[in-house]
Amino acid sequence: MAAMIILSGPPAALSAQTLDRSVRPAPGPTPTLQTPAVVKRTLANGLQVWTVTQREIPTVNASLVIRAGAVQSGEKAGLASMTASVLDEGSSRRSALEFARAVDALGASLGAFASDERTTVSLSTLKKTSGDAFALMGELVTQPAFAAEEIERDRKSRIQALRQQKDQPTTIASNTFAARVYGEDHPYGRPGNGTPETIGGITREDITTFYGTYYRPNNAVLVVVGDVTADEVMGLATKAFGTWEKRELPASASAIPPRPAARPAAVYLVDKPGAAQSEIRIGHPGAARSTNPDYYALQVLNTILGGQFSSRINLNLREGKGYTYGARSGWTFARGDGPFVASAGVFTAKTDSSLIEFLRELRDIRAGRPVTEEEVAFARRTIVQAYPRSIETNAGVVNQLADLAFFGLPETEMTAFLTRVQAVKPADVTRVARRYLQPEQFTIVVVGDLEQIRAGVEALNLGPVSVLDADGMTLR
Amino acid sequence: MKHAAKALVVAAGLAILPGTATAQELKVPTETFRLANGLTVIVHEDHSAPVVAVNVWYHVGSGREVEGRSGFAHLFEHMMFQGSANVGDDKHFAFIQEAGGTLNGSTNADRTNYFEQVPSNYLEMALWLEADRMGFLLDAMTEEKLANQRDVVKNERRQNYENRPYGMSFIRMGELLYPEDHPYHWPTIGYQEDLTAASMEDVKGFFRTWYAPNNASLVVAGDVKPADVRRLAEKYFGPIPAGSPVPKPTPRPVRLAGDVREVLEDRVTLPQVSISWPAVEQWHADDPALSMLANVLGQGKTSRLFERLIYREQAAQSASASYGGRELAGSFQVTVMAREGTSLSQMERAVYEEIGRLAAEGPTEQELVAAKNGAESSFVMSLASTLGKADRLNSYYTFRGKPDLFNEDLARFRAVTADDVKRVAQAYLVGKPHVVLSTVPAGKRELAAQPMEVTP
Repeated sequence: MAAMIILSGPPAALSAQTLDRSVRPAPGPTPTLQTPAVVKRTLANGLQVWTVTQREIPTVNASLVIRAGAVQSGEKAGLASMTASVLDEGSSRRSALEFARAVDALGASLGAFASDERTTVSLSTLKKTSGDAFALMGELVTQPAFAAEEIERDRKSRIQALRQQKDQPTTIASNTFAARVYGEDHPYGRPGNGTPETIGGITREDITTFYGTYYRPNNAVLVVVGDVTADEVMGLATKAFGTWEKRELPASASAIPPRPAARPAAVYLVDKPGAAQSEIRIGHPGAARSTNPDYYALQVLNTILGGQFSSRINLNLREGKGYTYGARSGWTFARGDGPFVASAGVFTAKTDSSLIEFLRELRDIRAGRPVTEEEVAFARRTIVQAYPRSIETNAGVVNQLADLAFFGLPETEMTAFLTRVQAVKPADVTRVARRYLQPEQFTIVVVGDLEQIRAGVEALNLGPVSVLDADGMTLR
Repeated sequence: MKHAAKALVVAAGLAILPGTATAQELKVPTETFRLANGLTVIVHEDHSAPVVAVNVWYHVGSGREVEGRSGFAHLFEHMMFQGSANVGDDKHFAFIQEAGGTLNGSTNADRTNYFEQVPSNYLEMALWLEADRMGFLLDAMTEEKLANQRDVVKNERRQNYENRPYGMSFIRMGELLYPEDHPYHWPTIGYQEDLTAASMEDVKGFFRTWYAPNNASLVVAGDVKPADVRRLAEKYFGPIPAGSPVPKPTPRPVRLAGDVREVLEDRVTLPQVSISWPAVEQWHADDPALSMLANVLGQGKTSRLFERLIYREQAAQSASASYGGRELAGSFQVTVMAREGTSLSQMERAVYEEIGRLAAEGPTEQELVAAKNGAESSFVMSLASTLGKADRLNSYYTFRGKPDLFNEDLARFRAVTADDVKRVAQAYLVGKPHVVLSTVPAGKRELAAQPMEVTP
């Protein structure tokens, strides 16, 4: 470490005269952007391998993205999630705990997680242990034991966790919202973690069938970023995944969930006696990711509306009114039309006032107070200038590439995205606001102390008000 | 991303297999200087991405609060984002977010930090923003802003504690573990009535006492040149007058006179028991061994409690152990959530048995090696982001007087032996007074962990 140097600063008075603090310093010249160079290869079994070499620190991050998730669970809600969590509970070579000890011994982290449409197996390791770490990753993916006792243990734990969900207002609100917007039979409406009933009914055969059907190299992509070359990665990937057999995929593998029929506005209340806050969710089906040309304008729209601290919704409900610790909105871009949702936890006594402000913002941005040139320029800068941060770490690059690979988009989209965002005009934003936000179709869910909030919410006349049971599903 | 200076130098002759003791050397080179007003400036060059992290620590947290004003240090942190003499209302966030940056602040018992990460060409703006609130916050302060943020913070408390399952047990544990006059007795988030009482006079007094440059340190880490940082730091921070000297706090570990047992009712399905022992403060010689003990006992699938209660007996829904060392004192805590049909007393007994076993036999070689490799990995991974490095540099500087202590810090963990782990289990846990806090579903106090004849 350098020695501490005490500087004799300039006299304060002199400095104050020469420095005009009222002027915000202008940015310097935009630094040259180093776009990660992606090397794309394919193993003989069809597994795509994307590599980015970044040598800043001696670590390697990898994600194997399998194109199957809760959507492919069908009526057996929770199947994809359970398959992913039992995946690392032992292989043909080691028991669950032996496997976990082998990972721990490396100081690495390795795990699998299923979301709506994909299952991701993530690895993070030091470079020096990457050979052993990839071998374990391969063992986990290609030789899972799915031992009956581990399945039973996981089932018990899941059912208990599902029974606990009613403790957590945020979870009740989100699950209720999804079920009401899409319907309980729609892939986006079903709970990804299942219900105690569906989890109780999942058999070992269901799990091995799901695994055998969807966990295939030709249905996956491996993204690796870190202190490693593409050639080295091919060596590691061949050892780890070379014996993984490809197989023809059923139509369900590429299913795009349909957009549900439009529903008129409706309000659902879930009672949480004594709750200090009400959890609010407002929205309806939104937009798909893949090739939607409106994707860029929708990003700009949400940045202005509720995508960050300095957005209309948060500045109003938090900074203006003090009703909440934070309010936001967002799109969930999926293969199909994932939800748009505006959300916050608000002080119980301000539940109706918060709904008024939320709806004011959601309506105003369509008409009444459409986005300004200034707001759009601000949002474009926010998005574009965040890019260097988004690729600072290996994990950040892995996540972005995994996303593109999942949607079948080219890696060049990383920078093409920036150009497209730059081109978004206020008129585009207003157009997509009017097209994709439909206040007369908003489903509104409020989880809170019914006795205190009911009259206020009903008086707003936002649509028919129904009261649901604590599980957020059954009508009372 | 992949050019220029390396932030991390890897020592020669690695070829390390898991299990061997040698490992790579962590270096985060810094240049450190102090302005005449006492502000310490630490610069770390890392040109791997065109971004810079700016991180300011004020050596004040809820531990410096006075009677009746709990939560004030954190409420004050919120006020720091409300604009200053030359930065309009809500503009602090807006300027950083427009630059594509990320920003936040946080308060704990010992310190308050403020940080942003922006493209490196916005360095000057970030320093201008930090200097304006360090020097000229009060010029822009209004009753209206204070009233607004008081409401926001009350909602933060509702969201993160009152409305969150088991949220209040965290607050209660601090109250039971530390005596009323100890700064760790009350929660950093504060009590609602104290937040209500916070006044404009409090804001002014707190700012003048604690927010002087001589009680702060500034870290700039990223795509910058030290000479530029020095010039800009002098320009924006140099003219801010020094404040009165701020005394450094001295450790104040606590002892319990005897075991304390309490039961909280909450809107929860499963009962949970938390057991806490007073332990040493951070950077005490025993802090790494206590961390290793926590790791082996209750961190992750392969830990003793997890293996026993979740894999073998399948009686618990979750189990964890942690050692938390802070500036004045530390504690060792184990938390177990029981499944329906199993009892908290059974959980408590299992915790004592597993601690007793570790105290008698120590961890296995395999457990110790895994814990050390995990520590090494997390140290290396913590160097991935300039935001993370900047905060760590400020922490080392604030508490130890030297910023680049990554290697020395990791070396402390590497040096822990099985005997050390045994010794700290005996010295701080076995047979020592502790707090047992049960959180049970409302109206089901009978589910609380019951006192037993034998404790460790």
